[in-house]
This record gives sequence, C-alpha cells and structure tokens, in this order.
Amino acid sequence: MSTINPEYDYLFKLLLIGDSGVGKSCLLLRFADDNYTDSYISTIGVDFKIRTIELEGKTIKLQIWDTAGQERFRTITSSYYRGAHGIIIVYDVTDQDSFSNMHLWLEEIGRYASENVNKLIVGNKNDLTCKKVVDYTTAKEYADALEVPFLETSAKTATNVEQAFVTMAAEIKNRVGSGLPHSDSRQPHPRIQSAPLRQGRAGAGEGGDGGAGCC
Amino acid sequence: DEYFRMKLQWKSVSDEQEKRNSRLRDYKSLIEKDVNRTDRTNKFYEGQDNPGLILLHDILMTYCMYDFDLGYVQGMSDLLSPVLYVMENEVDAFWCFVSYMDQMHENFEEQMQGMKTQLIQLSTLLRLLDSGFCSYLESQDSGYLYFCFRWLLIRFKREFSFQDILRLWEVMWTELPCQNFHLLICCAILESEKQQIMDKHYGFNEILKHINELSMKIDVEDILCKAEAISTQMMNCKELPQAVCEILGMENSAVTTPDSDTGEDEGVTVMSRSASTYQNISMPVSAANGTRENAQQMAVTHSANRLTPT
Repeated sequence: MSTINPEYDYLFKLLLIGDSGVGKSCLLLRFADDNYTDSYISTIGVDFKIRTIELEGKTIKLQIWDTAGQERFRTITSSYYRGAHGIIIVYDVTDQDSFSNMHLWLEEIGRYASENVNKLIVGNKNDLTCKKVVDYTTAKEYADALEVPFLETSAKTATNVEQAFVTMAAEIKNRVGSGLPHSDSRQPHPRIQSAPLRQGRAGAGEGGDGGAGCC
Repeated sequence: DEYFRMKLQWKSVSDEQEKRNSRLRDYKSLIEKDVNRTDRTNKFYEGQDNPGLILLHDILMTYCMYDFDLGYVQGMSDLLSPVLYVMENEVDAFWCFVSYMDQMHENFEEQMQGMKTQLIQLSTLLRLLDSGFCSYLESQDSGYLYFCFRWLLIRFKREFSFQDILRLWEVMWTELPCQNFHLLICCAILESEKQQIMDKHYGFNEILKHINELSMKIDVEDILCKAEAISTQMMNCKELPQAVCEILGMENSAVTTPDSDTGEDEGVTVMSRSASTYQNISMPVSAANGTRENAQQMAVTHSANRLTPT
C-alpha cells in the first residue's frame, strides 16, 4: 500500500462487536451498502466493508470490521482490536442477555484495544417496539456512567444507522485531528493485524461461562 | 431410540430449570438464532414454518445433550444442514452429524486446537508447493493463513453453492485420493488466486477481502481437478518431507515413482502440467463410487466411506 493516498484525508478503522445475532452484520450492510435482508447469515471469522464519507470538509474512509459474536471466537476476533480507532458495541434491545453481556465486551476492549480507542454503544432492532425489553433510559444511564456515547438504531428501517457511524467518525476525527492533523493518512496505514493463532491467548475465552453443567 | 432419549432430555427441561441452567439457555438461544439464518433460500429450509427448520433445531439441541461440553458452536448449523437435506430423516441425520462432528470436533473446542493444527498443516503443504507465495504471504503479515479460517471451520460451506457442497463433501468423506484432501483444495484455490494477489500486491486487508469475496465464484469441478493433481504430484514426489506424508496419510516407502523430478521450487509448474493431463482421467468423485481403477495405486491406508450420505 502507498503511504499517501489522495483519495481521502483520513482512514479510520472501526470494529463492530457484541453478542451473536444482535445485528452487527445488518448494521454494516445498511451503512456500507444501504441494504437490508431479513434472512441474513451468521458471520464466520471476520470480514470488513468500506465506505467513504464527507465530514466537515474532509474525506474520511471508514474501514469497518465485522466479527463473529460467539464467545468461542473471541480468540480470533480479539486480534482485530489492535489498530482499531473506534469500537462499536452492539446489543439487541429485544434481548436482555445481549445488554447484560455489555460489560464482558467492554472488558475485551480494555484487554485488547489501544487505550484511547473511541467507543460507542448501540442498541439495535429498535423497530421491534413490542418486543423491546431494554428501555432507553436504562441503557442511556449505563452508557453515561461509562462516558460512552449511546444510540438506539434499526438496521431494518435505517433509523440512526448513519448517525451511529458518523458520530463515531466525528469523535475519532476530533481526537486524532486535534493533536496531529492528518496523522492517520500520512503514516503507513496502521494495519489491523492478526495475531498468530499458534501463540494462543491464555484467558481470551474466560468470563461469562460460569453456568452450571447439565445432566 | 438413543436419539429420542436424548431429545426428550432437553424437551423436558421446564422453564424454571432453564432459568438455572445458563449454558443450556445460551446454547438454545444461539441455535434458534442460527437456525433462522442457515440456508434459508434452500427449499428445504425456506419460509416461516418449514418442517426442515424444526428438524435442524431439534438435531442441534439433541447434539448438545450428546456432547454437552461442546454444546453448540456457530458453524455447526452449516455442517448439519446438507447432511439433514440428504438424509431426510431426523435420526439418521443426527448420527451422520455425530460422525461428521467426530472429525470436526477439535475445530470447535474452546482453544480451537483443530483450527490451529489445520492452519499449520496447510502452511506446511503450501510451502512445499509454492514457497515463493508463502514468503509473499508472510511479507504481508498473512503467513498464518487466517484468511482461510472460514474455509476450514465449515469445510467450504459458505464458498460453494449447496449442490456443489454435497459433491465436495462426498469427495472429502471418501478420504481419497488422500487424507486431509480438503487442505489440498485450499492449496488449489490459493494457487488459482496467487497471481492476482501478488500482481496487485495485495496486503493483509486486501488478501482477506479477496478470499472472502471468492464465495460462490469458485468452480467446484475445476478446483477438484486441481486438488487431485496436487495430490498426484505429491505422491510422485521422491523425497516428500515426513511432515507432508503424515498430513496426507501417505507412507514414505510408497513414494517411489522413478520419474519424479519434483523439487520444491518447481512445484507450481509441475502442478499445472499434471492438472492438464488429469482432465482426461476420471473425476475424483468416481473414486468415491469405487470405480476408479488406479485407486489402489494410491498410498491411502485409510478406510473410505466412513460417512457417505447417499
């Protein structure tokens, strides 16, 4: 890759994390391709999509990584935290467990992401009003206590999806743009690297597995 | 009988019990989510109240009772779906799935040891075949072949059409022409993409993207031919490294073809030559049916047809 690319002023890498089935891939599909499908497939491994946006006169290229949600895959997905400028933690407003697991995802960020990474909490599937179990106030208070921005979205109706990603981009731009203008486009692109699997990651799969066995 | 006993176990768990069993709850929730998004465009699973969906769900739940330590891990619904489609019978499909999972179990375990092993084995094979390409991948931080993760976890399920998967898996289950033939299929696909990856100087991100986007674009016949050609090439190799012999289940002594001249660096050229000659020979799948004459020549010591759902 070339070190200077005239196509954009900034390149930001974002990461979508959260429990399985909360709609991470659908949010990404909506934002990157303005598309939605009810019959989506689960994400195996990782993938990313790209969309370029204009913000305050600057062209920002967003490279958004989508990960598998199940705990078993955290060894793999955690290696993609490094190098991310922003991490969006997604829960499903109709699924209490996905909200309760939020702290586990925040721990993952603390463990693997760079210290000053921008965060955003997103409550997806907000169109399913009759099935909603995590109310706005509860989630908002939780996010405020952590000083993390919060939005409720619907990938299906596109509500707030644009805002979620643009909010994140703006915050990152403020952070990296204030100190070192254009730093991210002048450096060789910081890669999101994969850590070698064979080194393993002790403890990567811990947490949240304290349930009793059966039979 | 055994199946229905295990099925009754999860069926009879009351809501109160379930509240106290977080693992069962988690498995159930994941299975419900994944059944809803597995092959839903296939006739067997499409629509809202398709009986195929209930079968898929029930077999996966019962598998949790069969192996509660493993439980349900994402990707397993992809492995079951074609098996169920072919078997058309809940109990038979379950036991076939159990056998398939015997092979795939390690890939899904906590530490994913099976995945680590497979990636190392693939790297070993690819290095023998094309050390130049391996070096290129290493220079792009891609030497660990992470981008093959999906291929290996669910045996190309997302890379080919449903019908192609039935064919591909049937070939792999024969363990002919060699053990771990799926790794040679990986090699064949990677060899096919090598030129583009290197010519365009793809980096870590581009390689992953390129490989992910090959989904549904690979010709199954073509890739089977190429993979079979690679296996022939390796069998004819005079000094096949011990590690490679072990991966492919070939015995060193069996590799005695006198005219073999395969050196490490010539790997690719030899490969493309044998690929063209192989067009005239019967397809790998005919080996599965036992019609292939030269099957005996192959240094395969394993029993074939452990699981042939036809």
